[in-house]
Amino acid sequence: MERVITPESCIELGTLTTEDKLLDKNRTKFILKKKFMKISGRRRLGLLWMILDPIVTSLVYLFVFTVLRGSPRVETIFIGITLFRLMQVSLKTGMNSIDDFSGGLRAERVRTRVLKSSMLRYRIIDSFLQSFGVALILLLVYDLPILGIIVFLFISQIVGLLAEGAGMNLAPFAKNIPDLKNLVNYFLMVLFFASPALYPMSYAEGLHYRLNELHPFPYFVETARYFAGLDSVITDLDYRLFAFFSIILIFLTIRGYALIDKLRWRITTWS
Amino acid sequence: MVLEDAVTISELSVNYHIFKRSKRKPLGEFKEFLALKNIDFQITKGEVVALLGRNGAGKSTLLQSIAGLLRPTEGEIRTNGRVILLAGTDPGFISEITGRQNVMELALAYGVSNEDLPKFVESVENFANIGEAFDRKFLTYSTGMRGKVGFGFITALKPDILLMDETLGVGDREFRAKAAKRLKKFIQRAGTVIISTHSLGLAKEICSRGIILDFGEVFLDSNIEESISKYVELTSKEN
Repeated sequence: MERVITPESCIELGTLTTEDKLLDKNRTKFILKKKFMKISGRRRLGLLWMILDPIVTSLVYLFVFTVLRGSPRVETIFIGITLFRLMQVSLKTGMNSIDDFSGGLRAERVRTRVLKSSMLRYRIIDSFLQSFGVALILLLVYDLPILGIIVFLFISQIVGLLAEGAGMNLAPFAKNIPDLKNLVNYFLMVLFFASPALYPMSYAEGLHYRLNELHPFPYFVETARYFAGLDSVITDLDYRLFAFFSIILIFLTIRGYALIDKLRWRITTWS
Repeated sequence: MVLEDAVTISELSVNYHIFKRSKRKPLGEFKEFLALKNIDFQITKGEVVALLGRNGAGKSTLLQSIAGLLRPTEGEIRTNGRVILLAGTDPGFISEITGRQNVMELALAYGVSNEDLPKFVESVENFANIGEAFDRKFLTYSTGMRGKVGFGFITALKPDILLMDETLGVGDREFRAKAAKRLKKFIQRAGTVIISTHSLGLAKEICSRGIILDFGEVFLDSNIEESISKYVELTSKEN
């Protein structure tokens, strides 16, 4: 294996052998295991917390809303909070992805394709675990249609992937100016209450409604609610804007993953 | 017979970008710090080279650059073969699983085949010699125990090019003697070796060539005897 290291890149010459591919597969598995162990390893309920967390959070908000005012339907809150949490967590994971590009293997450089593969798999598993428990409750307790559940699980994957991709584009800025992470936190906090996570978008009026038309989250959450047979304004929203946001987010996601190699190389000498 | 190069370094410079806050710039700024400048040398396959130099001379930066872990600012490095960097004794252990599980999982991630796995685990277990603790969770290990398993693990690998950054500081006296013995075997097996060390005895015993780094530049590249005597001269001048 010949490796050429220059200011532009660190590349291996030649094609990957079967052995190399097997090594990459084992490394991807190891990195994934390490990530999940870090989250769950010392907790009694382990990975079950990833399923329980969105359910408990939704129940807390449901309680608050029931006490404060006439609440929307429980299913509306479950779907909204789960998708918002996923967007929030994925965005932050994308922004922090730059912090460790070694994959946790410290004695040898890991190929970028291993990092990409482990990040992608982690996102898929994480999004699934975070939405699966809620989906089960919606199906078994609230008797939502199967199609609605499938669409909800699918949208969870899309939201997770696109939010992480968008976060990865912010990662170099966040590394250079860590203060950006605080600003994003505040922004997400406002967005949580302003966007239709806790209530259907039909509850919003005037400027509040107009502003919600101008960011992508309501389109995803209202689509999920529509297919679940819940109160939804997705048919009233401008599908061209939805297409526009989707294209931008897909572009950012592809760009984010494509930039990992350059980025991991660039930041090695930053401190 | 044409000798093949294992490592070729051409006009290598490495700058770090360090965040600094000052009274004049309270919001801080990034400043460039020159760690290596115009490094140029080749290492032939099979050579064992000592990298000598005072603290901060750039030895660790050079090893990390060769391992592909640091981006050069200028120049080029070519390596021919699998490169392993032995710096510290943690190849990436997971705290939440046992020592044995760690060794098994990590071994596969470092390219040990399924067939060689039992032998590999046995070799690490025998070397670390930590008894039943090998089957206890890694987070319960003392620093010394972690060091023993880590050192045992890395020195059981089979790299083509081994980069070593002063790693014999762990464990008790008995362990260090055992580690030195294992290290010599590891070096023989690795083929091409670059060792960054302050131990001149070790350098003289196992290296044929010495490169002295000073303030990020190559001060001398010669046979090990001359390099050691120049290095001693250089450091005694300082004192």
